[in-house]
Amino acid sequence: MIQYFEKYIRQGEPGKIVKNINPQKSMLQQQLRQHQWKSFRRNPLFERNLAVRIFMFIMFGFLALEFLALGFVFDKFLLKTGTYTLAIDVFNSILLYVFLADLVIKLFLKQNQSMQIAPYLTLPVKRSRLFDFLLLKEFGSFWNWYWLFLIVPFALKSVTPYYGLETAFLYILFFYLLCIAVSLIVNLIHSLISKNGWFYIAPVLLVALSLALPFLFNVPTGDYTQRAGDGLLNNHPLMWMGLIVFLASLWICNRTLMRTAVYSELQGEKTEKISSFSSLSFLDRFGAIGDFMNLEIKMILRSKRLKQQTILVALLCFWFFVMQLYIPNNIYQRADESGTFAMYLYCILTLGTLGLIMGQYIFTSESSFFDGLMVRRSSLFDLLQSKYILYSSYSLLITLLLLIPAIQGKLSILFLLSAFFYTIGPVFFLIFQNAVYNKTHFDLFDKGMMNWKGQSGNMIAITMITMFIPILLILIIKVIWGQTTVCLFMLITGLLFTLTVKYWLASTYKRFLKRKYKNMEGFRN
Amino acid sequence: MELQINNLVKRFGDKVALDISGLQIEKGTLLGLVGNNGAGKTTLFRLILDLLKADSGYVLSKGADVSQSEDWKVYTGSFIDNRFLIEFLTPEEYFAFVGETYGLGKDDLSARLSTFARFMNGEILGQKKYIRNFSAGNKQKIGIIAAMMIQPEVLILDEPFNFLDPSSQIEIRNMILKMNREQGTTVLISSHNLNYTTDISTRLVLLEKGIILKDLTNSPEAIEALDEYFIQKAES
Repeated sequence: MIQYFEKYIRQGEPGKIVKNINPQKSMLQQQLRQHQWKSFRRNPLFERNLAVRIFMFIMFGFLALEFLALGFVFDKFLLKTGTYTLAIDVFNSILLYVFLADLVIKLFLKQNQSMQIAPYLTLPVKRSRLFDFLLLKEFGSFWNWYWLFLIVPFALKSVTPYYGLETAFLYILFFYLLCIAVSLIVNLIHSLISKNGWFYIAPVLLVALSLALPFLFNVPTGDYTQRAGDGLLNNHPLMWMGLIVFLASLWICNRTLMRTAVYSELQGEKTEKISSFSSLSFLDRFGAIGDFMNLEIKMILRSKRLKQQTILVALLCFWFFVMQLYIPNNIYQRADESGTFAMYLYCILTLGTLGLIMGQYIFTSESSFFDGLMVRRSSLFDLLQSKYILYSSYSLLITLLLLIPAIQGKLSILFLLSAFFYTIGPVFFLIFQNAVYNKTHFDLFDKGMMNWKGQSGNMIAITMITMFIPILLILIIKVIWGQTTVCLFMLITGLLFTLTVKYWLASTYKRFLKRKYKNMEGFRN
Repeated sequence: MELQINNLVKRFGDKVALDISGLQIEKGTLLGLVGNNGAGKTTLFRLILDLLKADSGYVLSKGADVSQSEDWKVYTGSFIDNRFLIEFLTPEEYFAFVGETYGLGKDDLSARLSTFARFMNGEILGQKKYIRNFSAGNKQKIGIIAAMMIQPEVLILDEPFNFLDPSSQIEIRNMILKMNREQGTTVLISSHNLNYTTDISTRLVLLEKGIILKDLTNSPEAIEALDEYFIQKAES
C-alpha cells in the first residue's frame, strides 16, 4: 500500500517521530500555502466558476489600470487645490480621508481571512503559528495592494524630485504597511461584530469622529497628517517606530480575538439568536404564493450574504438616485446622451434593485433545499410567481417614494410611471430567464458581499443583458424620436409584459422543467 | 400495484449506478433496501422521487410515470438528506410550511406533531434555533417527522437510523411499523443497519453495484442469506 503514499511522504529516519510542537516554521508556512492553493484549485466550483473568475479578473484589471492612469496625473489634480505648494504635502493632508475610505470599503467588501483551521488544531502545530499564517496572508491580499496602483506612480512623480528615489520607495512601503494596519483594524471590527451586533457602532463612531474633528470642532487634522507625512519624508525614525508599535499591537489584538473566535467556530453557531421576524400574516391569504413570499423574505433576512447585498445596494441605489436629483447641474441634466443614459440606468437600478439582486439567483438561492421543494405538493410555478410579485411590490414601493421628487418637479411623473412598468415588465422578464439556466449551488450561510461562490457565467451574462440592453434600446429610440416617444415606448412595452406576466412566467417554468435534472445536479454539487 | 420499476438505468459518466430490469412493490409492503456503499440505494430513491433523470426505463407510481406526472407528490412522503430541509427556518416554521403545502391546518398540524412527541424528546420544538444549528441527529428527526406527519401512502426514507441515538432508533422503528400496519403505508427504507432493517421489513432487496442481487420475502433463511453475503464481502 506504500506506493499510494510514496509521492507525499518524504523519506525520514526510521522510527523517528515528531516529539515537539514546533516543526520548522518555514516548512509549515509552505505546507499551509500549498493546502490553501489546493483547496482553491480542487474546489468543485473552480472550473464551473471560471467565467466568473475571468470576469472578476477583467474588472479588477480595469480598476488597476484606472488607478494607474490616475496616479500619473494625480499630482496636477492635487496642486489645483492650492493648499500647499507640493502635491505630496496636499496628499499627506488628506491621508486621514484616504484611509477612512479604505476602512469603509474594506468593512463592506473584504472578508476576514478564513478561520478554516480546524483540521490543523489537533496536529503538533502551535496555534499561534496558524494565526500568524492567517494574518500574514494580509500581505498578499488584493485589498492591500490596490492603492499601490495609484500611489506608486504618484510617489515616484511627486517625492523623487524633492526627496530622492530611496525616500519615495520608503514612502510607498509606509503607505502599504498602513493599508495592512487598516485591514487589521477591519478584521478586529469584523470579529467584534460577529460576537455582538452592537459593535457596528464602533466604525460608525470612528468615521463620525474623524469627520467631526475638522468640520465641527475645527481641529486641523489635515495639518497634523501633513506634518506626520513631512516627518516620514525627512526620515524621522519616530515615524517608523510608531508604525511598528501600531502594527504589533494590532497583530497581538487580532491573535487574541482569533483564539476565542476559533472556539466559537468549532462550536458552530449554536448560540445564534433567531430573528424576531416570523412572517407577514396578511400574505397567508394568498395560499401557496403567500407562503413562498414569506419564505423568500425570511431567506433574505436570515442569509447574511443576501441581507447585506440587498439592504446595502438598495440603500445605495435609492440614496444615489435621490441625491443626484437634488444636486444642481447633476449628471441627469446634461444635454448629451450620457445624461439620459445615467438617468435611465440609475432609475431602473433603483426601482428594480430587489428583482435584479435576487433575480440573478432564482432557484440557485433555493439550491440547498431544492430537492425538498421538488418532492412536495407545492408547485415551483407558484414560487416563480411569488418572486415576481415580491420584487414588483418592492418596485412599487420605491416608485411611491420617488413620487416626492416627482411632485417637486425634479422628475417627470410620466417618466417615473413608464420606468416602473418597464422595470417590472421587460427588465424582470430578462432577469427571470436565470430560472432556466441557473445550476450552481449557493450557500446561503456563506458570509460577505464579495463572495462569488454560486455565481456563474450565465448569471453574469443574463444580468448584464438585463441591465444594459433595455437601456440601449430606449437610448436608440430617444435619439430617433425623442423623450416623449421613449416614455410611451417604455409604458406600452412595460404594460404588455406586465399584463402577460402569467404567460411568460409559465413559459419560463416550462423551459426550466426541460432542464430540471441537469440544474438539480448542479444544485447538489 | 403501488410502485413499478421497469428497465431503469442510471449512469454517472461511464459508471452504471443502477440497472434494474423490473421491480414491483405492492401496496402495504415494507421494503428494506440493503447493500454496501455505492450499491445504488440512494440513486434508486432519487429516481423514484424524480430527482434524477433515468438514462432509460421508468418508474410508475400508481400507474403514472413519476417523471411525467406530479400526482405522486400528493401521497408520497420522503426524506433523503439535509437538502430536504430549509435550514434558515426554525423547525416550527418548517413543519408549518410543509403542512400548509399539504393543506394541514394549525390544529391538524399540532395534533399530528404531538404524535411524535416522544421521538422529538423535547429537543426539536421550542428551541428557538434555526434548523442549521441543530445536531445531525436532530436534523434527521426533523426531516423524518416532516415526511411522516403528512400521513403519506408511500413513505421513502434513506438511512433513517443514521445519526440517531439508540432510543430514537427504536422509536423510529416502531413508528414505521405502526404506520405500515395501521394505515397500510407502503414503506421503502434503506439502511446499513441490517438488524433494524431485517427486523421490520416484509421484503428485503439486496443491491450490489446498481443490480438487484437478491429479492427476498423476510424470513430467517432470508436473513441468514443476507448475513452470509455481508460476511463474505467483508472477508473477500
